[in-house]
Amino acid sequence: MSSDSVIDNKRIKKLAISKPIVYGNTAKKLEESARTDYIPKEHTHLWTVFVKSPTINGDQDLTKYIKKVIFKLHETYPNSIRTIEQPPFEVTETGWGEFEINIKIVFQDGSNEKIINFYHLLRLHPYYMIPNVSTDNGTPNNGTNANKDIKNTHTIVPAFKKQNVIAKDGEKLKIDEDKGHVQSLFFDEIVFNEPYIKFFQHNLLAPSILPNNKTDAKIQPFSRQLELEEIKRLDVATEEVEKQIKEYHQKLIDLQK
Amino acid sequence: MASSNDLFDMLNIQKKNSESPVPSSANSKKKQLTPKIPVPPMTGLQRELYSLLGDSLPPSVIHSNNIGTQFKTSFKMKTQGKPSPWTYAPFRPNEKSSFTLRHWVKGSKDLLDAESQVSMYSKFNIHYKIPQFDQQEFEKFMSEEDRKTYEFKEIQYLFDLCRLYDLKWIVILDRYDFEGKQRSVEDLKDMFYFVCRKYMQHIDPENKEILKFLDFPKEKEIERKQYLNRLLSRSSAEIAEEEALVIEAKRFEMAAKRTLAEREQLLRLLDSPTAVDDISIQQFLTSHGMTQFYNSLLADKSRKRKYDSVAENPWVKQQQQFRKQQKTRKIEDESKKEQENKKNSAKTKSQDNQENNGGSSGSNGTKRRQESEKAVQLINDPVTSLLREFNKDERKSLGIHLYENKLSPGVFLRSTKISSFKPAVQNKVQVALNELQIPTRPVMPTFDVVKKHDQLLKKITILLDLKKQVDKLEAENRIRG
Repeated sequence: MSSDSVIDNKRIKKLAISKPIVYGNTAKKLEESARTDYIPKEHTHLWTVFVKSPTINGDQDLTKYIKKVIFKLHETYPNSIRTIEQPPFEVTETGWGEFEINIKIVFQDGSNEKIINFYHLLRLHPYYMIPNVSTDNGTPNNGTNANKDIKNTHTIVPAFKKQNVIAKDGEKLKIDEDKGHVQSLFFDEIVFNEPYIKFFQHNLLAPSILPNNKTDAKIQPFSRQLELEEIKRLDVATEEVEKQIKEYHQKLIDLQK
Repeated sequence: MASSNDLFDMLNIQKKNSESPVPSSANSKKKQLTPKIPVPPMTGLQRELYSLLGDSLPPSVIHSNNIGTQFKTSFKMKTQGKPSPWTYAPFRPNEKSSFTLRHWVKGSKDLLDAESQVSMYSKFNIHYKIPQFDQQEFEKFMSEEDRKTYEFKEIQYLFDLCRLYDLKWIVILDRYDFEGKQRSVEDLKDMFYFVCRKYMQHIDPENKEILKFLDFPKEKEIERKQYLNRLLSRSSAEIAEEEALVIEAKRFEMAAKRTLAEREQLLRLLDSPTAVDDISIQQFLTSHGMTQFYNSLLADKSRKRKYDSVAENPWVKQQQQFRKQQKTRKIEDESKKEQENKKNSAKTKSQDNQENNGGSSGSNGTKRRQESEKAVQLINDPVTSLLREFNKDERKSLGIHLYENKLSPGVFLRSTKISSFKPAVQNKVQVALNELQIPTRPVMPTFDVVKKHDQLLKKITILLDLKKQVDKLEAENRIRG
């Protein structure tokens, strides 16, 4: 009905559409035996950084509007800029250090939108190494929280002690210390403010349904249930703040008398 | 020879008078003094220059003969190089001529032949072949009647002159003196060509080609000359009027061009995408039809905006008004019977067709506009139409949100739009969030979560403000107490 001219391709005013994504990494400790010839000796971990869809349809949803994802690794990696044009949008590598990976999402050609650019800190270890100056004998003296670690890591340089990582705000951290597995995930939504009508119709107008229950979400932990729980948490917190506001308001009135 | 005094007189300057009480004597004294300055004596141009300067000698005087020498050298530069030799050589106009003429030729005498040569231009000295005949022949090819107007003797005389002056008619006319008869150039030409034609027809009746060249329309020629005369004898007022007329004509031409271009532009604006025939409201009731209709409305909107941008043009304005009237008429018609409506639209369509160069797209456009007019009466706002299309759950799963105000277009990650504060406030907010066990970045920054989160942040800032004020008042009370 509408012609194919460029003039008709307008941005839809006052409309925003959002698409959920998950980005993050998984890491696995490499056993000595697993280290083959083509893996450098100092590489202790096998990790995968990715951009995924948390919806029930999976990555099929992403391809509708994402053209490619560019991962910019640490410069010491060969071909440190990896461009992935098909799902799964992920890069698997081996390494020994944590660093910030720059992730760029490029949208499909019709979108006329800019690239989205963000960073993800690669998580390999379930703990931080912090210099332990206070210990006298050189053996890592523990806190109460890291008993388990110490048993395994006597060989580590004695002047350091381990501290369990605390999840960053908004980070979904999953640690299986026995197997040496670490998973660091972030949920986010790509918001298209006033998208172009054509792009909206052809590329965005598809439902992106999150799994309902936590149990349904096997691959990734994000679900409607989790969202509702968070809303509930926020509601509780808001109520708490409101209560305090009332208190302080009363106090203020009292004081002004 | 002009002195500085003359110069001052000419320029009406009385500088010296105001400064010194006895100007003339002082001037003359100084004038006498100047040559005493121990400098090489000045001559010619330089001396004249200095006398013009008078006693207002510049502090640093260039006493050199540079000026003169420069002139000399530059003059020398130009005159350098030897003059090329020219010879006043004799020549003959053509092979047959017995007499010699002289002309200047470049080159020295030695190089040129001493003998007089035939001029190099003699090859251009070519004469016409003018037909020759005696009286018997003349009587043969000229009819009885013709011979009354064209006498043989006069013709003979004319042809002789033509041969002599090579058809140079003005010269022929000048020399023409046959029994004191008054002849114009046209008369002579007419006579000559008429006789020539007769002669040619007589000699070679098959050759029609040559007759073309011998045709002389006397009347036309006279007319042409009269016209040229008139043109040359115009008064300056007439010339001015004519020029004004030409300018006026050009202006008209330009205006016509402009209107044409504007009309074209307008037609392009009015030209809407082709619509499917026979659109009914039923089509818009499906969800697919709804989005299509929404698109068309958006396209319509943009078109309307374009109208405004060119509305300054009165012609366009007029067209717009006309269009509006048409539209209102159409709407009125629609309220009438369906049958009548169809007839009417057909009429207006045909009108529209004429206006739009009979293009099919024009008629479709009107039709479509008509249809959209109908639909607009049903649903006023395209946004609400979209809202109606999906229920709340559907919209949520699609991730669509509609806003009251315009948004800043573009794409971003929702988590980056979580409000932040000045560093000092941010720290306090963070502490408050920690107390409440709420992360600064939600785990699932969805639309609802971020909305709640922002509300919470706002409340926290209010609380912080309140706390601050309470602390302040408490401190004040303590001091007072």
